[in-house]
Amino acid sequence: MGVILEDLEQEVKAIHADQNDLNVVGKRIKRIEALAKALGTARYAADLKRDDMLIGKALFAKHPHALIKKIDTSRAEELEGVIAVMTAKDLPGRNGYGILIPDKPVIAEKKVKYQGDPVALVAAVNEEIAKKALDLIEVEYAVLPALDDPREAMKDDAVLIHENHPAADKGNILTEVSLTRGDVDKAFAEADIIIENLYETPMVDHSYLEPDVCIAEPDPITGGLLLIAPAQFVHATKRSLAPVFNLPPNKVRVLSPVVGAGYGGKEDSCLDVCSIAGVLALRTKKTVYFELTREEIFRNTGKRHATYIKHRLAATREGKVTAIDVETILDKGAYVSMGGLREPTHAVTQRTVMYAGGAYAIPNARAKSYSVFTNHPYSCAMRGFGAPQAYFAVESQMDELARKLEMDPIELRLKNIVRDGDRTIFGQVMKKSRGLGLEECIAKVKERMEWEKPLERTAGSRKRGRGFSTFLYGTGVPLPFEGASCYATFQTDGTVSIAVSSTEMGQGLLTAFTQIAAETLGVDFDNVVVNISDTDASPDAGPTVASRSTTVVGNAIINGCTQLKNRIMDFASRELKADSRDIDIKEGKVFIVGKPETAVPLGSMVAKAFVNQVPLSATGVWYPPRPTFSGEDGQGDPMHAYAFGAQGVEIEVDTETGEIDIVKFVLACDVGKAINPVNVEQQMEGGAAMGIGWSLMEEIDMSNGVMKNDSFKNYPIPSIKDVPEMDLIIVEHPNELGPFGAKGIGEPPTVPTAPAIRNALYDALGIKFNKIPFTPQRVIEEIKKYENKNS
Amino acid sequence: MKTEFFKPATLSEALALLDKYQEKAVIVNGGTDIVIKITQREVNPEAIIYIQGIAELKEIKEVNGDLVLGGAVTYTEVENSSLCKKYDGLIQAVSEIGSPPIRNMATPAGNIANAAPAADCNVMLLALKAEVVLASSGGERSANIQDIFAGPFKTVIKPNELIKEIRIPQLTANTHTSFIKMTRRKAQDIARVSVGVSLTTEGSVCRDIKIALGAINKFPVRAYTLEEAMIGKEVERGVAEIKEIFPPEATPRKSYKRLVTNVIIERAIRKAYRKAAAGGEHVG
Ligand SMILES: Cc1cc2nc3c(=O)[nH]c(=O)nc-3n(C[C@H](O)[C@H](O)[C@H](O)COP(=O)(O)OP(=O)(O)OC[C@H]3O[C@@H](n4cnc5c(N)ncnc54)[C@H](O)[C@@H]3O)c2cc1C
Repeated sequence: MGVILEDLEQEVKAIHADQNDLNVVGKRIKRIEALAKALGTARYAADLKRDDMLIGKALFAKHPHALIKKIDTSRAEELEGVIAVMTAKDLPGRNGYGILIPDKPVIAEKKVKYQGDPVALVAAVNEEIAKKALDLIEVEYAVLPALDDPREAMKDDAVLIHENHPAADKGNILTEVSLTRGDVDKAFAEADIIIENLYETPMVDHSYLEPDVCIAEPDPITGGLLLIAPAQFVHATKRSLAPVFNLPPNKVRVLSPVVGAGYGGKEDSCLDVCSIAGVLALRTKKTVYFELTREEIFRNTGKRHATYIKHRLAATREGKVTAIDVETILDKGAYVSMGGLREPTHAVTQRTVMYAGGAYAIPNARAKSYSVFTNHPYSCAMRGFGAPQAYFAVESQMDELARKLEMDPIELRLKNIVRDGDRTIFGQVMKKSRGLGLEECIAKVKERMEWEKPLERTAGSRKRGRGFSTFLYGTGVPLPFEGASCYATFQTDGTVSIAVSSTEMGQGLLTAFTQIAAETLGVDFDNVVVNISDTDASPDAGPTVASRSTTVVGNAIINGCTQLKNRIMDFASRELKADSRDIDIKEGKVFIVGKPETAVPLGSMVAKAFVNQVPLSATGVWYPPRPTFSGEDGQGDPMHAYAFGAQGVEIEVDTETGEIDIVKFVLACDVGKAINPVNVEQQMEGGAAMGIGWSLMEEIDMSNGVMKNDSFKNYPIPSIKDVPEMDLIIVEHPNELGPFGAKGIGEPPTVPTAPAIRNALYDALGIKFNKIPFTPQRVIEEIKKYENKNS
Repeated sequence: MKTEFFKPATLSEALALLDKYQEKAVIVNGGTDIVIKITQREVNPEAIIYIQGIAELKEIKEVNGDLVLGGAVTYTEVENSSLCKKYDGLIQAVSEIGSPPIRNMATPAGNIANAAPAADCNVMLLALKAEVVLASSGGERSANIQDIFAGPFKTVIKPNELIKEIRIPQLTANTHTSFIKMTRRKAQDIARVSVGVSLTTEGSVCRDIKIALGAINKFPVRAYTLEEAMIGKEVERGVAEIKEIFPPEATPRKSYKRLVTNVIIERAIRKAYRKAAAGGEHVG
């Protein structure tokens, strides 16, 4: 299909024609924080621990599902060095919190619903004593049966996990999101081919390196609290927890230093640690340090939703997909977190519906997702937010269809992908003007994979196979308040300060924001400093999630910087006696366009402006077109722009041990505009590596609500040797609304890996694997089953 | 309770401390197993005796052709030692343990005394018929490695004894060694099945073979049944014959281990045999 690439070339050239005069944006600039991190001098929250802080510890539930009959803390209280012991009755405010709804107790009072529910808290002068005090607390439980399987938990006769949940639909079903488009039954009745399969995806841990910690410090002047913790959404942490502390939000300050990765998890886990440290600090009137152990992080904090997906797909003999009919059941775990509610925050549940049809223009669709409570850790946001699960199913289905039609899987996809003017199953019209580089991604991956060449199928016990997948992935959150604010300030020497509440968690946002500000203002990269994640220093930029920051917050930064620039140009026009429209700022100089001799250093112009009552600070804001999505029919325009991508893998399977080697890995992503190509490549590598872990080895093992593998000893994540060298292709089809054309890239690379590997496995072995992870054990067992059946 | 920390400079100092504290003392070598147990409060010692400062335990030497590893020698030191080079299997086993930082700290002696069922170095030492020299203030005794293990994480080493050295007998002519471990991921992982082989050939005939299996029993075991089936036969024929015989010495609970054990054994034998075929006469 070299033809396509040639056709595309002209188009691509035209797209990029006006991007040549950028000075900072688009450059491969080294991460601002890289050196400090490499030297170990960057300070994370735990590095701010001081000896005079009290140590907080929590006693967590002994049983995943039980009634609390009695708690006796008297022996713990008597222990020397213990400053406070708290149970639910000692809390200062609301005993509940959560990003969407306050259904998770700070301290469980009557019932524990999973292993991570705290039943008592301790503050002591040191860790040793705090731990000892926990041993002295006696709790009497009446154990209830624990629910592991959401398919069982959603039945009418299942034990109720929440007696009076404020948001649950029915029984243990938290919520249900539906999508309907066209006439699905008719399409299935008329279909030439129907593909039907069940897919299962596991619950996995984010496995961020930095543990969850919080330093809570009472403010003696306001009576409020300062919370220092790795957090992905400082303003929501403040809003959600203020009632817990019985404080107005303006007395709660949340500050997040650089974060050692979050992947969505630290949107919630920071609430877990901040609530505990905060109530202990208020109780003791002392600064409290609280840290979760790795085992506690495994057992207590959020996970990726496990899913059970029934996917039906109808198609014509020519390979046109005419309909899908999908039912997804999500393991919600014990609390709502980012699982989703009724209007307007369907969250993860919504994405499983929205992406059920993949990157294809399918005229008829029905998708229904149920989010169901179990006695598992709460499932939360995790890189891809429900999309990896949905894509595992639909991209596997496409492979099955290609097989059935004996059609090349890439050709099949090209027959079905969304193009300019097409509607997705959620009814949104895909527009070239927002960047639609899917076809280019597919063509490039195909070329680099040398797809036309017949695969060399190795002899002996090692078998080779190739797999392919595609995706579209929305930038930002489909919530009515989606948008961002920030402050932009000129210092009087012309250097620039940007204050945003977003989080730097290794994705390179500091560097990208600095580039965007420097480019907009025409100043040197080194003259901009971005201050992050402090609720008192910056307005709400929204969560650092959903691949949204570079795009949504980046636009707010452009807006703030443009206001400043206009003020200085306006002032300069008076100083230089020229029309302000003829003034420009570039490379740190203010000048009349076409008259280089008029150039004045920006610093002196700003200093002059300052003494002439020109304000040097501005609030930058940006809102996308208001997102829409209906939980009734699943139709709307949930995101303003979409990233696209394609992935090809070639694998070698050791049929005697079941081990899989990825020998070729090509990933192309349309990111609109790579503000910093190095950052983009790192997101692609990191996201794909996470996809590999999810595909090949990671799986939280729950049995009767008890986590069997709550440490890295029993929970392998990919080592560097498990991650192949990747062929990464950045495709840039600009988004007219994005900063310099950008779209999000944080999560998308996690999406296509599992189905690509699955399809390669099928190609190599002729065996269907519809359940991840493809561990050597599962692979070898399936091979044996297959051999037995065929012998 | 307070824990005393000692860093003796000589072996006799260390042995005196062990004598004094007996089971209340804990030897810390590389610390990669025991420090975790101490911080998790699985063990609560009164005395920590840190032995990496004892120069006489840090030696790698050859004595009458045997390779002698001091009781505080690290894996990295083994990897870098010219004396260890010819023991291919040992280098293979050692170089895949943990990660470089772990190998810079951790020791074969610690592997033995910790006695994990999946311990890599122990498996290879078993195939090499290593001897463990145990010192106490009362003197020294020596034990064959296969007699050291008493159960998972249990050994016959007495509280007042210290592994002074590990003696690996000189390889006989035409002996080649190999090690393979099966893991869930490609680096820094505990073996699910591991196999160490020491193969002595004469042309294409197997004159002697030792096959040690890890992670499939309470402690590393020799697959005597398979060894006997191999000895005296053409290597290729022997390999073909034992292919379907699951070693009765192994007792894996998990079906997966059953499915792959023979494959790994076969591969380990072939790995040693390839070396023999390529290397001809020399020992290694
Ligand atoms: C991240 C990580 C990865 C690992 N990967 C592997 C792996 O791939 N394969 C593997 O086999 N192991 C692995 N281990 C386990 C460990 O590194 C090994 O068992 C190592 O050999 C232990 O040696 P050490 O010197 O650190 O022992 P220590 O922790 O110092 O001691 C272990 C035990 O041996 C005793 N002891 C130590 N030296 C002596 C002595 N001279 N005399 C008497 N008793 C002694 C100690 O008292 C203690 O009971 C790993 C550990 C970690 C933390």
